[in-house]
Amino acid sequence: MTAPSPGRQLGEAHEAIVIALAMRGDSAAFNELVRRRQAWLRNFLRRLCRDPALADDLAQQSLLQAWRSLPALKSAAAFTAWLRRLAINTWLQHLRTAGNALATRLELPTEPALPAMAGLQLDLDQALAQLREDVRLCVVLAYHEGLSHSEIAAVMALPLGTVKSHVTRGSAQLRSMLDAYASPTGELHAGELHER
Amino acid sequence: MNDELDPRLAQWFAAAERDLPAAAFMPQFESLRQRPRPLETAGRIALLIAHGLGAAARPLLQLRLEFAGCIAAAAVMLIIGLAMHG
Repeated sequence: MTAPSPGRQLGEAHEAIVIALAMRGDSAAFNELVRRRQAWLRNFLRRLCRDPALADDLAQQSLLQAWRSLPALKSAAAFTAWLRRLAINTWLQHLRTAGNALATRLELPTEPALPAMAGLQLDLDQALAQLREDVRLCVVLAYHEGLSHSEIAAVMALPLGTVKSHVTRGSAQLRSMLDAYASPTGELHAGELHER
Repeated sequence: MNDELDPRLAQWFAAAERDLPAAAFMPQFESLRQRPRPLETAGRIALLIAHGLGAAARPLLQLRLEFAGCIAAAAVMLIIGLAMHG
């Protein structure tokens, strides 16, 4: 009987074990974490910044920061919230660089209409890009991350009332933008937002 | 007001979620991770310069130390001489 390879063992290991190993500087364990979390992180950042290439770039920067700061993480259980916080900070840092906030808001669609699912994604992301950054972040944390208003208030260090107002206002704005492009069944039509 | 979300928006968010393959992302991240940090590079250069300056200054410092030793020895001999004559 042959022993399973370390890579396979890591692939099957419980997340807490992989995180604990990565916290002790195990590079293979961190790679395994990246493999497991990259889709979630990239999707999260795509909702925030709309541009898939930029989102991937920000995801890589966030993960690099995570690798460098991981030994300072106090508990493996806090990893997801901690990585989310790093991603948010990376995005905010990107916005702070000259003109980025305005550029994100005014950017015109450059990608052609894509097949159904991709079209839906572009439409949602494009509609999200029309929201003010703090409102967008609240909406994405609520709908993409499934955080409660009080959790969002804690993450963003904002008063609960402000978070509630941002989520309500952002949701209403999104609905009004997206409803116009949705079929009666609730599906968005591919690329329509770009074509109109 | 509670935390209830708009079900239609929640549906759109769920539908926009994509299964993004790791195949292209992982090698890019690995190469980024292997890249030396700018500060590390600057630190290495500063260390090399300090090492070079130190190596250059060492013979000069040794000369000065030998010189100081000679002066000290002469001073001691002078003190002893003055004391003997006094």
